[in-house]
Amino acid sequence: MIKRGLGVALLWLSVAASVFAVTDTSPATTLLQQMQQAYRELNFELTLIELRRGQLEPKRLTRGHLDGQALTYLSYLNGQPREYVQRDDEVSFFESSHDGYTLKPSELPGLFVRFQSMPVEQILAHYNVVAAGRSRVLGRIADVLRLDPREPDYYGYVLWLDQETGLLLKLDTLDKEMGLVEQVMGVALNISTQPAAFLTELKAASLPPVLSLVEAYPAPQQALPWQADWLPKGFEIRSQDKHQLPLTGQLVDYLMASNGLVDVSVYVANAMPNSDSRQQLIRQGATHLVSLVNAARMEVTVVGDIPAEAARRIAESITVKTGETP
Amino acid sequence: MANKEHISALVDGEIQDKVLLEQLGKDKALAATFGRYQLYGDALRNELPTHLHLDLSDRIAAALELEPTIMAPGSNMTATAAPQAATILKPAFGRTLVRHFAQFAVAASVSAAVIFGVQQYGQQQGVGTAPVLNTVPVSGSAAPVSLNYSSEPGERLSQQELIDQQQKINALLMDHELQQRLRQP
Repeated sequence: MIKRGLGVALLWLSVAASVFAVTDTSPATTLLQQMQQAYRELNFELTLIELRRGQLEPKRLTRGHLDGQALTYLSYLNGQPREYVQRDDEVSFFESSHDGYTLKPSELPGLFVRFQSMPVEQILAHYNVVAAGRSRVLGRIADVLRLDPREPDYYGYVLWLDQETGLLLKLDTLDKEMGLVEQVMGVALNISTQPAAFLTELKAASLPPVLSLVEAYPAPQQALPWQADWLPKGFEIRSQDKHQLPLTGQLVDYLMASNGLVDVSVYVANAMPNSDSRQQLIRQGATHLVSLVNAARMEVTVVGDIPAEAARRIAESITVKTGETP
Repeated sequence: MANKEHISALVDGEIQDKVLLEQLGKDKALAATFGRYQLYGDALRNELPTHLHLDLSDRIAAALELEPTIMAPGSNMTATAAPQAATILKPAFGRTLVRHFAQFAVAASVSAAVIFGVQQYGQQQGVGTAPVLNTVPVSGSAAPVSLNYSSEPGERLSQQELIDQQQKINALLMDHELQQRLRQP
């Protein structure tokens, strides 16, 4: 009898727990889900301006759905042409300096698109999502969402979501002092029932042959003779290998860590005998590059969209695994 | 006017009132209030433009009325606009893609050079072969924020060293970009 009572109580608890899990629908969470749903379902063309360190970069994002296939076209409007075409999870990259190629699976570049595809639970795990009232963007009423980082080593974000459709219209990246680090702002939006005419063309266009990731990038995963003793909380190692850098052909040990939204790359090479140990900090929008030569004569470089302090801490935490030499 | 309080709230983004917005469209006095309140808000947030263009809407409306010749072809426009847009977009898109494909020969010769470089380098075990893929170098905006120069004050980087350093930074930023493309979703 007691056992049965206990069983019932357990059952009730588990039901209650699952209900809780499903009904975690604060207004802010719902807005995030609506944003992703709008991106998945709507046919639209959004012209964006990206602001990075005083430089403006206009882009156009066109997305449509044809016979159950999602087609996205992202193009840089100024300077050297850069065009990206996404058909479901195949992405073709066209840049002026080299031949186009298609990767599967891959993603369109940029945080703006990453926000559309990453699981909402992962956003909620790392950021405190707060509905921050309403504002006007693109002449439309927008819901404002603040993503306050749960860890001090992350950037924060502010999202402006179209109230009518849920679409992401504007995205700010903020540092700890709430200073603007990077901004992507919609300046023109066209939502239509039918996808843009040229997307139909794109669907039929013959794009470069699909490369699987193994074909495109044959560097095998392997354990590295060093480790990062510190990574921002919530970051996990996603990849470890040895490969050559473009341009210079330099051989490097490589590690990628990610929290789902932001990726950080760590490069380690043997320092040249004559290289000095000065630290370098380079910033491009939200991206920081920190480079240093440590006591073990390893040249460590950390690149990623994280605050400079966090990048430096990762770089300084790289040590040779005990019992091995670099 | 009782609606003024509402308008103030609307401007502050506290409420969203469709009916009121529609009224704003029709009622000139209300619209003027809305415009003024927006301006107050901008002033409070220190976002005022350097030159204020007040009540341009009326002047533009007046100017438009004086120009019937420009407005006249508008009626035909809807009929021709769609096909026109299609023909404009088509060649623009086609040209760039074709141009990219035309570069194949060049790219092939480049990759041959890369492979030659690899052979010279002396490969280690378990190292990935030369990258097939590429990204674009940064467009000159990756500027050093701080360089902690070593203690000798007289030391200066030569021109060649600076170029090498810039290339190294570009290589790292390009590779980081590439790794994000290769990342498993």
